[in-house]
Amino acid sequence: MSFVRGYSQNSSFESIHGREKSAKLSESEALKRMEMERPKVDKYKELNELVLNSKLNKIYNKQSFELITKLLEINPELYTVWNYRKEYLINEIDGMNEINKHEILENELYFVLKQLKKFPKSYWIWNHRIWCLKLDNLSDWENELKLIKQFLTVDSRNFHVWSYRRFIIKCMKDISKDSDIIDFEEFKFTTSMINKDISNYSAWHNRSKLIEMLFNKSPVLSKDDVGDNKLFQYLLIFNNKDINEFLIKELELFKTAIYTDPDDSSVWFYMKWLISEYFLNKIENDEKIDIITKLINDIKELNELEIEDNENGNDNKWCLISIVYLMKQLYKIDKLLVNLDEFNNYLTILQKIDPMKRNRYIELNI
Amino acid sequence: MSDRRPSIVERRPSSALSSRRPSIIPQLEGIEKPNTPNLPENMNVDVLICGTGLINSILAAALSWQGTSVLHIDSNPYYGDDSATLTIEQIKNWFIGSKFNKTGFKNYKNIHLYINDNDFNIVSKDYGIDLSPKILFPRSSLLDLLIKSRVYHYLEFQSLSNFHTFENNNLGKLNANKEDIFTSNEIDLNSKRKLMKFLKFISSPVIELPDNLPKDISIQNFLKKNFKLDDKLINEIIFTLGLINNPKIQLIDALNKIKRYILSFNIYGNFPTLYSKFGGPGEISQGFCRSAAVAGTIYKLNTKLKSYDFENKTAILNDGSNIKINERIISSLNQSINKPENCKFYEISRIIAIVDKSCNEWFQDGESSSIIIFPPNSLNSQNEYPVQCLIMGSETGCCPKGRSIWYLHTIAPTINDIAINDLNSALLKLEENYIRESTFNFNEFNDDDLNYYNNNKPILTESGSMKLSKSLLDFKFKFSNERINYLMKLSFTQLTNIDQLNPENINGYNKEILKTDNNIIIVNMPSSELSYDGIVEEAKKIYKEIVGDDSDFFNVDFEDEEEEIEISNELDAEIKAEVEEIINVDNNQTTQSNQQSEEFEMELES
Repeated sequence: MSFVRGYSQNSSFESIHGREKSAKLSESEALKRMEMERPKVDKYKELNELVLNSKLNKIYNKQSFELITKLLEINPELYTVWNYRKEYLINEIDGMNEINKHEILENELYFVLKQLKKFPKSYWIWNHRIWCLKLDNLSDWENELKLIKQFLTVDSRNFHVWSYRRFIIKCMKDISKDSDIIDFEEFKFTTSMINKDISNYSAWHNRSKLIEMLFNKSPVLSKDDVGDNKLFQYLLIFNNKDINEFLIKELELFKTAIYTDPDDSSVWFYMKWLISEYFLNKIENDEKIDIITKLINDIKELNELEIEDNENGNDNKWCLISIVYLMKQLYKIDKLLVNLDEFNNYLTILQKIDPMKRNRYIELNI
Repeated sequence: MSDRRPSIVERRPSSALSSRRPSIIPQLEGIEKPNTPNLPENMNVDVLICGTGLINSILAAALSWQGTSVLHIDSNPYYGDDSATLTIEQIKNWFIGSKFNKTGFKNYKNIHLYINDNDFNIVSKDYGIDLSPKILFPRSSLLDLLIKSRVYHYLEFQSLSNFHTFENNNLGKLNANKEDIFTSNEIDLNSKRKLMKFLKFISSPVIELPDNLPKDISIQNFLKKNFKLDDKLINEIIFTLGLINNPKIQLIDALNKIKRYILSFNIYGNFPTLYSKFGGPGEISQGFCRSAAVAGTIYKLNTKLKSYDFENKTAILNDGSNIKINERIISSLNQSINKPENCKFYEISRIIAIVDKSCNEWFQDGESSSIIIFPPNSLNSQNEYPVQCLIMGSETGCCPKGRSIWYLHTIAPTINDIAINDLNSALLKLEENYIRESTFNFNEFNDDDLNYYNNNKPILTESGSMKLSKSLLDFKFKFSNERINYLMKLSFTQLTNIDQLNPENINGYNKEILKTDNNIIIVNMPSSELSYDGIVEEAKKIYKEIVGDDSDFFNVDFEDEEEEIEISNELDAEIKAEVEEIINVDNNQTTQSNQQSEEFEMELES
């Protein structure tokens, strides 16, 4: 049933991360449409068989290529057929000079783009695009970035696009002298995407990747080059490799985000990464304790406001989960820093307000 | 026909949109085609419609697609009637007609027109002035109808994102989506939280009010008590986001109005409203008339109803033709031969000003219009009602570069000049703010107040704009040589039969059908509602009265069935992509879609 767009018997497919999917069809409408589509299905089966047969017989002529195209246009998930397509292309460009090869692969990219517009979340199409670009020594990376931008305007959270972006950036960095400038430009871009939608898991993830790289190596730029004052502050922090200052600044951003939407899981997960061993191991104990204690107090304050607002007077689940996590981090530094009664009390409340994960909370006990 | 603006057929299409235009746009009598000279003798029609205002035009199209034969006339030499988009010359003629030699019902009063043609060489046709400007919510019945009827083919739309609220002598920009709330430095953390809570509450599919709510609680108190929002935010939410012009609106109605703004975000892109380029309701009326013409409606401008014999079902027009009416006559009030009994009138006061400033400072990047709201008690005139203001820049296609059109209106009473004082007071504030904003000296600001992008001119950050608003308090005109000059200023009071303060008329239109004593159906006059809400419902109401049922309202198969299903599936995506394209074009980003640019590059190389 779920092959018919807009109709699914399994309601969990109807929304992702709380976002509604497209309009639903009634069962009778869906059946009607299935009946209409039956001749198409028959045609498809016939085509599928034809293509697989010619793959078996290793036929690499124009006619079989056209059939492959036709079949992939209908169903982009057939990886066997994509591989057949790759075999055909390798066969065709074998012995060609770079320019002729580029021309053929450009045509291929055009076909891939048409498919991506229809199926922006298909692993195999993205895979094929990367394959083509790797094969071609004359690829236009800038053009790929433009394309990514358009895809992100349509769906800013499509993680296929984000990981494709990381691939392109990596390729650009490989041939550039200023790979750190590229990273910082990416940081700028990712920041703007997070500002647009703080529930963007992919953007937060990309931010964490970039921060790691920028702490490794960051460009020296003037304030005018950067433009935005806030971003310039970040750059100075990267230049100085000042982890403590970074955490203080980044946790301000986190605080703004949780106040904007206390129920947004992506932000809470990002905090967990910030207060993980990755950074904590690089700063002094005093600094660690200051940062975590302040953070716990901030979250407690938010939780108080949430309790006040919630009709049933319940705590905010994410606040408690995070406080518990942070107390555990404190406990690792110094056991005396944690009031265990308080800690256990939070776990008890969590078991009550989130009974589905009851055992998980019992497990967290120190 | 002498003075008019180029129509959709004659305009050069904006490149991004050219692809979705039908190859043939139906031509209209009195625009691309000469006006119909003579109607056939002993003409026989089902319905005669007088006046080509928006509701009438939707009706003409709906009825003729349903199979009803329609004759559609207008006493004016242009389309649009009291929602027309006019040139300066047409405004002059409208002024004379409305003020002096108009026969029949006068639906305008207190009209004053000032035109400064000496200092500015005004080219009349460069301007498209809406008599009752409107903006379109992406989630609205009119937009659905534009798509269903395919009339959107004859129109172009642009996004409108900037909604300002005038508070403490400052034009604050509305923070009404998650991004604005998250990034704003002006809202403190706790207000961010409360505001987001309210947005979540209002965007749930069904608004559920708490059980223990006091009876008849006002929207103001509801927001204060249940969401603990401060007065500034409350004003912004009710009057700017909700575009509500009655401060005493009932709670649930107010919430529904606020909701349409929130739900309209991200339907076709990250903006809450659209407007039709080259003119508002006038342009859309024309679009529906083209659709009606395709379905067989006969058009004749410069023609009006002279008399109607209800018993013998014959109508005589002023061109002498004698028409047999099988069903009914529908007319706008100002083109009707008599008015319905017991019809009360209410007032909307408007000022339309053309100024010699671009007003780009008020627009979002890549856009060319904005909304400015003066909430109650924000003006020196102690205004009881809000003043709503729509600014249209040159990219709207309604005025030349470096100029803009300011539309202001209020439903305040005209007794003791209350309304006009409110409007003038708002106009003065617009002037002051604009001059201050466009002439301030960047040296007054430090690094925190400014951002530089790509070495272009500096842009104010929020701390910068707060400083600016403080300086506005002390600002006096005499310190500045800058002046705003008016090319045209038109003020008038428009009458409407819709009581804006009656909760029954929440969408701007009322439920009953007005009829004259000889059974002519009178279409409601334009309301003060700034959006197009209520217009389709009004058309459906009259459609039902004539056809008996509105289930087949625009129920037309334009293509064969299979294609139809695919199109309906893809249409939303298509429009979405197009709107994105438009925005991209405006942002000077890639002007073509990827597909096109790739094709282009491939051509270059071959």
